[in-house]
Amino acid sequence: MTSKTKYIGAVEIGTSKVTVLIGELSQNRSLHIIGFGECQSRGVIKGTVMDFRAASDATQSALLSAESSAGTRIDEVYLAQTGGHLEGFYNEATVSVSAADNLVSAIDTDTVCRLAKAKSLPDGRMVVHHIRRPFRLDGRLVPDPEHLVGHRLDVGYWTVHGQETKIADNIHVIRGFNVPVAELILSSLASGTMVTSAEDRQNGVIVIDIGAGTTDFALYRDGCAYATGVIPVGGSHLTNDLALGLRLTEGQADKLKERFGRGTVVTRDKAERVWLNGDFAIGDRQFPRQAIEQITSARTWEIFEVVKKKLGASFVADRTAAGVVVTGGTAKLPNIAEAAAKVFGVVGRVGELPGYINENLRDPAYATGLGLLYFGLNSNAESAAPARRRSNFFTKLFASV
Amino acid sequence: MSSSISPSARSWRDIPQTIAPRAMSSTGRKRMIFANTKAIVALVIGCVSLWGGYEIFQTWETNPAKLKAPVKSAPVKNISLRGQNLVLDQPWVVRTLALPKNADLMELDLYALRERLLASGQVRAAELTRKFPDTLLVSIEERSPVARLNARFGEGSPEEFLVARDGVVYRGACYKDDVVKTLPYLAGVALKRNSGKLQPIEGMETVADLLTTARANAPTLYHHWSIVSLERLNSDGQIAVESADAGTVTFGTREDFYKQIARLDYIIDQSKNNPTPTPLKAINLAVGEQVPVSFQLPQAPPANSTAPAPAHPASASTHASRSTPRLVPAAASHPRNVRAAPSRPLQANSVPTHRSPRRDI
Repeated sequence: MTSKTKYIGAVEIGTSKVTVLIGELSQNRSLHIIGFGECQSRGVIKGTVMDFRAASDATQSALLSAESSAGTRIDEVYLAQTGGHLEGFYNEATVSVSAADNLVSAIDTDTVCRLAKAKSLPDGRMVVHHIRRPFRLDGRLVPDPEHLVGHRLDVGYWTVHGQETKIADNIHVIRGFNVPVAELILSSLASGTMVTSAEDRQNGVIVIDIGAGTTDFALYRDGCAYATGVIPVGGSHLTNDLALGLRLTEGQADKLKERFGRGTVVTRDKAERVWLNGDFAIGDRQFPRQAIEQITSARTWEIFEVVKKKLGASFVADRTAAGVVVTGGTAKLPNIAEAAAKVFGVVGRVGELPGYINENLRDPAYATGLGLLYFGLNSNAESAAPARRRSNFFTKLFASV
Repeated sequence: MSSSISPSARSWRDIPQTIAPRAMSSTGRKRMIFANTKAIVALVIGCVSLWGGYEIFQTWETNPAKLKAPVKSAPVKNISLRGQNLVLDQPWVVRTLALPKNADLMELDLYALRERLLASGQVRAAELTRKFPDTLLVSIEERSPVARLNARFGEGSPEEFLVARDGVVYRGACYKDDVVKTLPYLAGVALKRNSGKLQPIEGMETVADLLTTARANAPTLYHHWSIVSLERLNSDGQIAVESADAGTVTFGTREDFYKQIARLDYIIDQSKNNPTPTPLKAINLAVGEQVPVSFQLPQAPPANSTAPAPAHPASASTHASRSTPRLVPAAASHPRNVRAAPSRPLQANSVPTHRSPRRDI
């Protein structure tokens, strides 16, 4: 082990499970996944820590398991953030190019960025991400306006913010293990980075990560995250609907969902029935298959409708050429991509992880964890942490003038 | 303009990540203790290193001699000698090493001492090891002599040297006289000196092969050999041996020495079995299977004496070869004849009086 080797942990504290991946980040910027730990989540509801002690125990159990499999200690953690408390807004700022020759300087870009980010939040809210959209110089999109000639420089930021106490709870769960949190990353951004390609993000794509308690979504356009959001509805609601509709326990409903649930109604025969357990034991019952599909598809449909509504005017089908990508644990539901495609009116598919990922981890449920490691590898990724220009004394002096 | 920009909203990074130990889990506390301990140990090591560096620097500045001999051990009290089949003894090693009185074990230059041992020539390899607190272990491997020679340096008196198989010439030490006296002398050797040291004799390996073959298979013959001449070794590939019972015996280096010694033994036996034995003058074993043998001319007999009729054809031919060498068929080339050779006991009074050829260098 060289002194430049760092062991980073990707932690996702979900509603149903806590997932920890450990990556060995070498000096040459290569990352190897060397450890994996998973534990059933406790004390977390809809992505929010409700019972600190239970959540802490579950998370630390997963961390210990991962450290044990990796045979090393984690140096820092990249933590996924989700929950219904997360919201986002778009703020734009405009400046006139200050130089007489209309050459855009570093001061101009710095000023317009600070203006776009300078929007106060209500009390108790904290910024999780400032996601910058491309600059516009006299109306044209430019990745970097510096040294270009123009009159008017615009930039917009999609700011994701959440409730301070809930974010702090998440961080304290990790700090209780005495490991620092290096980065807090939105779950939808983490999974979206893994299941879409750069071309998809350039052409426009919606990533919907349906977990157990929450559904995280992100709309990408022009290569960057255009809008994000979280709705506190997930796969557990499908289970709950089945339990209520068919009068089952949660465990029975979950089994039925996994075996016969669908994103769309495929079964046309109302008389077709399926067994609850299939073992003909006492308590084993039959249920109409069409009813199961109707219940699961209705909730799935509703989730997509809510996402579409949340995106609002940001979503334009013509500017979402890469379609909609469904990921997360619930993405394993058959026909879910077809349901998404019908709701959004674009092509739909279930997110697939890159081929270089180990086959054991090539499951939509691990997309977020893998995305966190990807962010760890590219910790200066534009969307998570925009490159900050180093301002020297003279820059500050002229800026103040 | 910047003064009008309101400060950015609070980020999650503003949340303090410090956490009180009581709020940590037991695992977290253990990790914290481990991390703190590691930091303290690193700090202590750093401090000790700095202090050590400072002390060394101070000592270097004030008294550099202290740094040069930091370890003082006890003076050497024992010199222990180790090795297999050693002739050299412990007093010789002590004399050769010539350690100063109360020499400190740590101050000994083991390489220089090893060179002293190797300078004798009798020592093929030496290894010196310190065994604390006060013992010097000396492990040596010796050369075995195969011949000897007399040499005189300038106007000095002649000295006797021993020659090992690898041609190294050395003054033998601690050898018993009866061991040295059995060795034949070398002749026809041009000794060379280089920076005061005698150079090894070339071709000694071949000579050693002949001598060891003779000593192992025909010790009686070997004990009569007094001088081994290497004069024609390089030019003709021949080794001439002065033997008390066969005159000058010439061996060829192209043929197996074992067979040649067998022939020699056969010829000597034949000549001794002759009813009228005539002393052998020269035997040339280097020409192949036909061996020319020369006999010494006997004293002129009185005119009225009557020579007995030869009873054996060999004896007749012996008389016939007074002026010309007789060719003896190599019937003795079979090894059984050689094996028979040791059965002939060595006579106590048969040890020849060696003539020792002197080499002037």
